[in-house]
Amino acid sequence: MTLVLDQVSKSFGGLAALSDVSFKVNDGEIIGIIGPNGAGKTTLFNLITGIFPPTEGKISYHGKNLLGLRPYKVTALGLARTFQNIRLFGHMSPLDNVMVGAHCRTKAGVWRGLWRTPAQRKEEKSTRERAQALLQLVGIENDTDSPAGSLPYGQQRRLEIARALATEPELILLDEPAAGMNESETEDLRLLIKKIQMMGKTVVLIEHDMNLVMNVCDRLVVINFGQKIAEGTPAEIQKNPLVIEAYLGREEA
Amino acid sequence: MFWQQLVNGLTLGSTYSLVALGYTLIMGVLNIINMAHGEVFMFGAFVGLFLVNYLKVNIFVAMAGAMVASALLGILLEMLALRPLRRRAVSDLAPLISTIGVSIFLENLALKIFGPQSQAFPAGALSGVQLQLGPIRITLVQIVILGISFGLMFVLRFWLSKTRVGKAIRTTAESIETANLLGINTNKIILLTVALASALGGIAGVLVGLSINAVEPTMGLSMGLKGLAVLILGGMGNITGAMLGGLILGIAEVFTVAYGASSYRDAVAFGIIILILFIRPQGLFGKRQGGRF
Amino acid sequence: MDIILNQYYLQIVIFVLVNAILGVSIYMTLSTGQLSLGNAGFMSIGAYTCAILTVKAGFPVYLAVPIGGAAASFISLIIGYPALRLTGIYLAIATLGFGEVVRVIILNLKITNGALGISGIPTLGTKISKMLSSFGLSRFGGLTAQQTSNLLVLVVLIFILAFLVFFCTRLNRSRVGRAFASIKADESAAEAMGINTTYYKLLAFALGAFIAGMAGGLSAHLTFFIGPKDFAYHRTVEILSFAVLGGSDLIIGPIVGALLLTMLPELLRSASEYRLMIYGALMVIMMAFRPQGLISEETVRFWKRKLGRRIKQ
Repeated sequence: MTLVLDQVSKSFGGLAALSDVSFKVNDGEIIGIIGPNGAGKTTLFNLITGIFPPTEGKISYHGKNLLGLRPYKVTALGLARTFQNIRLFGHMSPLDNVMVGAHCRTKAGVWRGLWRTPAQRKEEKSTRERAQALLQLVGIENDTDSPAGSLPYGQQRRLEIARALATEPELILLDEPAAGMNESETEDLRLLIKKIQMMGKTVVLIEHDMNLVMNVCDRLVVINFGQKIAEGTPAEIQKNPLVIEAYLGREEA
Repeated sequence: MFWQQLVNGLTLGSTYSLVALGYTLIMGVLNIINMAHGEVFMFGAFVGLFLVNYLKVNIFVAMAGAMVASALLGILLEMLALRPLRRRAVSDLAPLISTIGVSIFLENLALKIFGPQSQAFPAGALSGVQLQLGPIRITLVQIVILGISFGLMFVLRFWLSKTRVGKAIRTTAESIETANLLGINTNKIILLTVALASALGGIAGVLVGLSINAVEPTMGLSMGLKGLAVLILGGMGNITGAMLGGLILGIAEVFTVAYGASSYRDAVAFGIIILILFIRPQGLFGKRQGGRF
Repeated sequence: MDIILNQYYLQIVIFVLVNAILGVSIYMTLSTGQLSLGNAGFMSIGAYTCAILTVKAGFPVYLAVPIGGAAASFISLIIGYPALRLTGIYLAIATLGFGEVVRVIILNLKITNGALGISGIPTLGTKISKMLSSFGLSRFGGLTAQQTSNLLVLVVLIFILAFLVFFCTRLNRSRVGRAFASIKADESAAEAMGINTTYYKLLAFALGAFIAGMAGGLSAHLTFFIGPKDFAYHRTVEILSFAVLGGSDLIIGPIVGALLLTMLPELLRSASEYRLMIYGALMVIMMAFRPQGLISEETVRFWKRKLGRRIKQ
C-alpha cells in the first residue's frame, strides 16, 4: 500500500470541501479521481501535498504520516504534482524549469556554485543531461531559448509533467493534464502516462476527459460534493447507478 | 498610578486604533499595505493646524476639515498610485513600492513647505481643563480623543455591518471578482474605502497633534510604523483586531515608559511585531489562512 | 589627466560605487521576490560595528569590514526567520520596524555615542597609503598623496563590486540561483517542487544584509564620521529606488540605477534640493509604467536580437 487516505475531511470557514474521504493507492497503479467541477478533487491533492492540513483524518505514505509536513518535504519523500492552472516558472527556460525540479535530489550550495568545484560541475552536468532526457520524454525540443511561459498550451502541460518527474517521484499526482488539449495531444498524453507507469511509478490522475480516464486508469475514485460516492475499475464505475445519476447522468441531461 | 497609566494608555492606544483601522480597511479590500498612510495622517494634522491657526475655526470644525482633506488626498492616492497598477497584473510588491514612493514624496513636500521644526496648536484650541475622578486625572484633550476615537470606531462597525454600502465593502473584501459579478461597482467601492481610511488617518493626525501638542513632517513615519505593528498584532484585515490591537500597543508603550525604559518606547512596536510573528503569525484575532491554489 | 584625477570627480565616483554595492544588496533579497526595508539598518550595524572595531579596538580595516557584514547578517537571521515563513508583506513591515528600532538603539547606547555619532574614523585612503608607504611606496609618478590614496580606494571599491557581480552571476547559473528564481516566479509552486522556500528566502535576505553591512563598514571609512541620521528610513528608500529605476531582474539593473541616481544631483544642481521627492515620484511612475525597471531580461533579449541582426547584415 503506497498512499493511504483515512477519513479525510476539510472545511473552509465552515463550508465542507471534503468529508470523510478514504481510499488507498497501490504501488504501480494508475488511479483516476473523477467528479464534477468543484467536487473537491484539487483540494484532495492540496491536502496530500501539504499545501494545507486536513480538518480531520489521516494521510500516510508508505506508513509515514504526511500530516504537518511542509510541501517541499512531501516532495522529497517522493510525491510530486502538477497543477490544474499551469504554474510553470514562466520567464525561465523550459530546461531551467525542469532543472529546478531536480533541486531536492542535488546538493551544491552557494560555495560550490560560486567556485564551480569539480563536484558541482559534475552534478550540474548530470542534472542538465537528466533534464534534457525528460524534456525529450515529454516531447519538448530543448534547444528553445524562449521562456517557458511562451510555449504552446499543450507543451506547457507536458513541461509541468517533466518538471514533476525531475523530482524523482515514486508517485506522481497529475491535476487535469489533458485540459485544453486536442485529441491527438491527449493520445500522446495517454502514451506518456503509460510510459510513466512503465518507469515503475504510481500515478494519481484528476481528469475530466472520460475517454482518457477510462482508457488509462486501473481504478477510479468518484467524488461528488466532497464525498466519495464510488470506487472501482472503469468498467464497474461505468455501470454504477450512483455515478451515472450524480455525474455521468447529469452530463447527458 | 496604575489606573492613571491605564487611561493614558487607552488614550494613546485609541489613536493607534484609528490609524490601524485605515491600514486594515485598505488591506481587507485591496489586499495591499498602503505605506503612505502615515503621511496621510501627517497631512491631516497639518490641515487641522492650518485651519485653526489661519482660518481661526473651532477645533471640531478643523477636525472635520482634516477628515475631508485627507479623504481627498486618499482619492488622489488611489487614482494616481494604485489604480494604474491594478490595470495590469504586476507583482504584489508593486503597490508596496508605489505607496512608499508616495510616502517619501509627501513627507519631503511637507518638509519643503512647513520646514522641519514642530508646530503646536494654539493654547486655546482645547482648554486645559482637567477632571479629577478618584485617583485619575483626565484632561479635556484626552476625553475628546477617547470620545471621538471610540465613537468613530463604533459608527464604522455599525456602518459596515448594517448599511448597503458597508455590505458592498465587505463583499468586495471577500473577493473583488465576486463583487463585480454581483453588480457592485468595485472601483467606486475601492475609492470609497481608501477615502474612508484616509479620513480616519487624517482625524487621528489632528487628535495626536493636539495630545502631544506637536505637528511635524516626520510624524507620519513613526505613526505609520505603529499602525503596521497593530495591523500585524490584530491580524491583517481584521477590524476588531485593529481596534483592540491599538489599545494593547498604547497601553504597552505607556507602561514601558512608566516603568523605566522611556527611551525605548518606540522599540515596543517592533518588539510586538517580532513576538507575534514568532508565536502567532496570523495575529491575535486573525484566522489561519489556507493555501493559494 | 587632471580631470580624471580631480578630487571632486573621484569623490562622486566613490559614492557611485558604494551606492552600487548597496544596490546589489537589495537586488540580492529581491532575487527571491522579497522586499527588505531594513537595508539602511543593516548598513548601520555594519558601519557601527566596523567603526567601533577600528577606532576603539584597533582592528585592521580589512578584518573589520567583513565582521561588520557578518554582524548585520547575523541580526538579519533573527528578523528574517519569523517573517520569511510568511508572505512577502511581513518581511517588508518587520524590516521597516527593524530599521527604526536600530536607530533608537544607536541613539541610546553609550558605545555608539548616541546622537553625536562616531567621528575620527580613519579613512580607507589614509589606511591604504600608510600600508603602501610601509612598503616604501609613497607616491606614483607625479600624483599627490591625496590623489594616490583616492585612486587606491577606487581600485578597492571596483574590485569589491566586480567580485559581487561575479558572485551573483555565478550564483544565478547554479542550483541555488535557480531556486531563488523559481521562488521569485511562483513561491508555492517552487515549494511544491521540493524547494525549502523559507531557507532560500532567508539565505538571500542574509546575503543582502551581509552586503549592506559591508557597504556600511566601507562608507564609515570613507566619510570620517557616522551618526544615527546617516542610516534613517530615507537611506533605505534611496537604495530601493536604485533597484526600482534600474530594474531588479538582472544585477546590472540596480548598478545602473545607482549610477543614474547618484549622478543626477551632480548634473542637475536644483535636483539635489528635491532629491527625495524625485525618488518618490520616480517610484510611483516606474510602478505604473515600467514595473520591471529600465533594464529587464526582455530588454537584454531585444538588444541581443537587434545587434545580432546588424552583425549578420
